[in-house]
Amino acid sequence: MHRAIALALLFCGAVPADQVEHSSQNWKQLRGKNLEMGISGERVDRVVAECRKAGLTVAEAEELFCPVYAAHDEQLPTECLFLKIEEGLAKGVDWKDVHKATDRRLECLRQADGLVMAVRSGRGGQHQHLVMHVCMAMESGLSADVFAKLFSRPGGFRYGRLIHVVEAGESLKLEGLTDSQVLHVMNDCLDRNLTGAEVFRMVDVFQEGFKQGKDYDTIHATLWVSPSSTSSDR
Amino acid sequence: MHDHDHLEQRLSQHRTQAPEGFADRVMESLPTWRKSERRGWWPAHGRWVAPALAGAAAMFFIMLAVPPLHSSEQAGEVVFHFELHAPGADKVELLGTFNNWKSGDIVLQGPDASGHWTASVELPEGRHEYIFLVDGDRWVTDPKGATHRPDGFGQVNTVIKVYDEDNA
Repeated sequence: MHRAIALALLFCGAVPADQVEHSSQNWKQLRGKNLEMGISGERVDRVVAECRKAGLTVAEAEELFCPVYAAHDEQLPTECLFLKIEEGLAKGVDWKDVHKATDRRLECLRQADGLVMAVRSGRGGQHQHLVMHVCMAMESGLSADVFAKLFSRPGGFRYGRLIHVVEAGESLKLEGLTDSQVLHVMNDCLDRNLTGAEVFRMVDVFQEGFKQGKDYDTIHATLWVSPSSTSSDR
Repeated sequence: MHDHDHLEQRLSQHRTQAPEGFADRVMESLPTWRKSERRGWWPAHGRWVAPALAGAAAMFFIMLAVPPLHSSEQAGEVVFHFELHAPGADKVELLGTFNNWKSGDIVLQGPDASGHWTASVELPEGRHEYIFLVDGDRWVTDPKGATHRPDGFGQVNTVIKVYDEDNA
């Protein structure tokens, strides 16, 4: 009798122990897979720990990371997707909502990459930076059509200049400008070959103008008027 | 004719012998350091001191001219000042894209007499998003930030573009 009880206890203990070991092995595999995406060990460990703390199974965590793996396979930047997962988990958001937000970002990344690749032949240089900035601007509400028009402008295609202009476009969109107004201002910046500092100053002028209660037309009408021409007008 | 050629040959080979003791007298008249034999490439008798001092002085001035590697103005890093008015708070943290949304990584100093919490953080150049976490459970958007952006989770992040003036 005693022998039977001892055997039963041993059997009952062996099953969960095996499950724990198997689960731990799966988490290790998941960690290794994320490391292959080019994410640092410290970040992967922290996110995996957050997943376990939030009670996710390995399968759920793997599903959460799927957009990162997809981006890696499609030669898209993975960094901003992993950041979205980190942000969601840090803010205590349900993993399914984090997954949706990361999926939305992946979709924006795909569109952004397609828009840039339509006018460029390769992914070299600052391609990924520009794609990420376009992705963020689209996530903030700017339509793909705006970028299709911006990138098909005649003339040179300078990544550094475009990145600043796209950043400005996102800020103006978040201020409430329509797509056509944002495109107009972005084209203005490129027409005038503005430096990054000048582009940021232009955004400041809009933001200060909105705080003072001015509308787009009022601000835009005075935007490119130089002090000398103002004095001659008077 | 044959005698003439023979005489010419003898004259061309003629050498006058130096007086006896001449070599010794020359060596005695030389300064001491010229007599010693040079060994190896290293300058003897302290003649390395002047070039070495000149080299050290040159290195000193070069090091003064070149900025230190870890200064706040190192390439791609810009110091940004964060501030939040939260007089009743016990703890204010800063989470953003620059610290991979890591909780506990940047804790603001404060509050000062007027209830302000502050932190100066070295940020890589580029576009960043951030939000404050007050007392570990309250997400607060920076009211002083110029650009605000919904995070898709029901909160609003602040967007900043940080560039060194030379690179903007």
